[in-house]
Amino acid sequence: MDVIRPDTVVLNWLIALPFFAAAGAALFPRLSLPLHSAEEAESLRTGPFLLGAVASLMGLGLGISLLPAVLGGTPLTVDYWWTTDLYHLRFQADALSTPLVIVTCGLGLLIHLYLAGLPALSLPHYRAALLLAAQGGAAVACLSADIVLLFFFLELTLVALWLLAFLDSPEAANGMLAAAHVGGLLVLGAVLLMWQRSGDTSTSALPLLLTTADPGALRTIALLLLLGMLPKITSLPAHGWLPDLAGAAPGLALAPALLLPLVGGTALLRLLPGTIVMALVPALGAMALLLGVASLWWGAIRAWMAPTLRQLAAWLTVAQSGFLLIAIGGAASPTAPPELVRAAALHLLAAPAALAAAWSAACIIRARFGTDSIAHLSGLLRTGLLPVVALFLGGLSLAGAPLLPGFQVQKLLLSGLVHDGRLWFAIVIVAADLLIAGSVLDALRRIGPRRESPPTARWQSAWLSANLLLASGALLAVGLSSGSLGDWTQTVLRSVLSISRSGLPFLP
Amino acid sequence: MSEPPSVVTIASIGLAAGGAILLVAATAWAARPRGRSEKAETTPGAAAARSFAWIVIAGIAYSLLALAAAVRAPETDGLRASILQLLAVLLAAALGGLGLSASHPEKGGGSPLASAAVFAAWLSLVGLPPAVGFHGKVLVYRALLAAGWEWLAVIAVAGSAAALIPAFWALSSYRAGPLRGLRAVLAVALLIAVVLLGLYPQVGLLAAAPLAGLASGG
Repeated sequence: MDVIRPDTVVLNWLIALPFFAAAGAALFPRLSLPLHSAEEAESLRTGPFLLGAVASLMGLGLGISLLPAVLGGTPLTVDYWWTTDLYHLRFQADALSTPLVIVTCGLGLLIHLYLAGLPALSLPHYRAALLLAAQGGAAVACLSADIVLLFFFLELTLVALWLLAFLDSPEAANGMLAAAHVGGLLVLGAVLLMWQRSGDTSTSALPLLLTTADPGALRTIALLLLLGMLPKITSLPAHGWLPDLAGAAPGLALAPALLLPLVGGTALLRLLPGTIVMALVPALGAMALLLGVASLWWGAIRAWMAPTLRQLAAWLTVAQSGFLLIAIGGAASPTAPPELVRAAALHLLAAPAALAAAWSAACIIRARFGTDSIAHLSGLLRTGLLPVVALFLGGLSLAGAPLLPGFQVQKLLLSGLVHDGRLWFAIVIVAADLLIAGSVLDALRRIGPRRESPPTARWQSAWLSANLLLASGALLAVGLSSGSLGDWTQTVLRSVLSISRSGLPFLP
Repeated sequence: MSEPPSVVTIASIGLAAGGAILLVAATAWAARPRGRSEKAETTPGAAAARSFAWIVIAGIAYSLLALAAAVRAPETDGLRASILQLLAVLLAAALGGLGLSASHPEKGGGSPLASAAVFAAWLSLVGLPPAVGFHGKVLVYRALLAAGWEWLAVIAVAGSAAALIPAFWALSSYRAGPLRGLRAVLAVALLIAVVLLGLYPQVGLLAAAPLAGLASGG
């Protein structure tokens, strides 16, 4: 079905218009001065963020409305020339990309609500516009069915997040851009090699690449892709930017920590398991496995030692990248069962939901109480129940606790590894899960009810409460719909990520 | 007995070597650490402008590399890549030049337009979307790979990564001054051009095609 609905385009432009107007007003203050007094401008401060939240909500609705069709096997595709002889604008709303767009819009909604709840943020128009640009870039990267387009929007998301973070802490923002852009250049190398070998930039042409390119070139492509994506999914050894960002200005890390791993993981899953890694000799899979185990354990150990809640969230993010790499690396084995690719796909839904709850709780506690140092938050449970619950749910979901989305991921991952005869890896993962759960529960014990008086909240905002309620509610809702999630991973495996191994002479 | 190298081979290798040396030297010069005495004598605005100028020269070196690929293998589309990259560099140089001309060392003030101009110029020169420089660099790398110069492509990519060092330094130390009148109008026009050509590269390629045709005698 090759359609662009005109009403959708008009609606999108109508949503974008206030932001163009806001940007124009900020660029040319003399034009906007007669319209608003300083008091009026202050009272309208949350306006851009609430507009962004509405836009995210509409994107969420649009994504959900597409779900029945795309899960029923009718992907929505768009294919136009971007330039007459080089690039295509190829988009595909399929069983994998549509739920990920919904997740992106959901994360955008939470971040906009969080920013609306913070007091005295400078340049609200810029922040809202940059956040929407990052969110839009991430959503379009998920939808891209073209390797150059995917790379373009991946980097566009990064640039928007960098500009957003640069407003508060240039040094930490530069660290993020440097790590992720150097990785991006490696990914670009892989993209160009794929383009050169297959003669086409469509993701659907990638399986053809397997049959025509030599194994050496494929290994180079896969290695560049894997190494290039490490900073974006915050995996060891390219994870350092996130703890740095988490230690900078309050709340600065929320958008990069949630959006970048999601879009990086999506690109990795799109480009690696269905096309390259599963078809390669196990050496690269072993590398991904080792990197995954190292990230998981390093993240879990540092989370245990974290002095602040934002550092705890940052190291939990590093640890979760390990699960993705273990699933992808495990799937490279010639005898790997399909559960591992299903676990990787499900992880892309479950991990952002859990991280959103954990990060929101940590950032909101820092904003409301002036500190997120675990040692100084004793008694928090009595005055800040909602953030504590969100932190509890998010952290335990990442550790794979039952009734939460992470449990389904762990179930698939462990069952896949055990069936493939990798019992030791399964034991290592369970031990890391226990460590993660222990670090979250220990942090909660230290900020739980005590005799001393609880910390005093600086202010209360309904938008912050809405953020926490939505994050926790979404996590519980996803966790309780385990049957649907299992069916979804089956659909994704059959329709998007299944590449036939027949006709690949070099496979073991 | 092997045949002596043709003029085309010598010219392409000469251009490629010249471009690579220029790229490495200009990027290194832009990113070089500043001495204490120089720091004291130079205002942050002037130092940022100097780094920017060296990165513009590095951008021209990318254009030379693509030209070398076109001379070596005309089917690589290197000529079009070279012209698009040159167009991107010229636009970024003009835009950044306008923004930097408004920089001032003292605190306070600040113009969003001048800041946007300088940020967009640096984005384009580093080769990040949504600026036109992204497409210029992608096509240059592609032409180098197609010409069989993988190691030159690696040097070019490394140059892009290294360009972040002066970019970060310059952007962190830069303070925007006001841009008014004709300069403001020109900055807006160039800003739109840099972003529009990045989002819709067909316009840049259309502009590059006739020039490439003329240059190749087509």
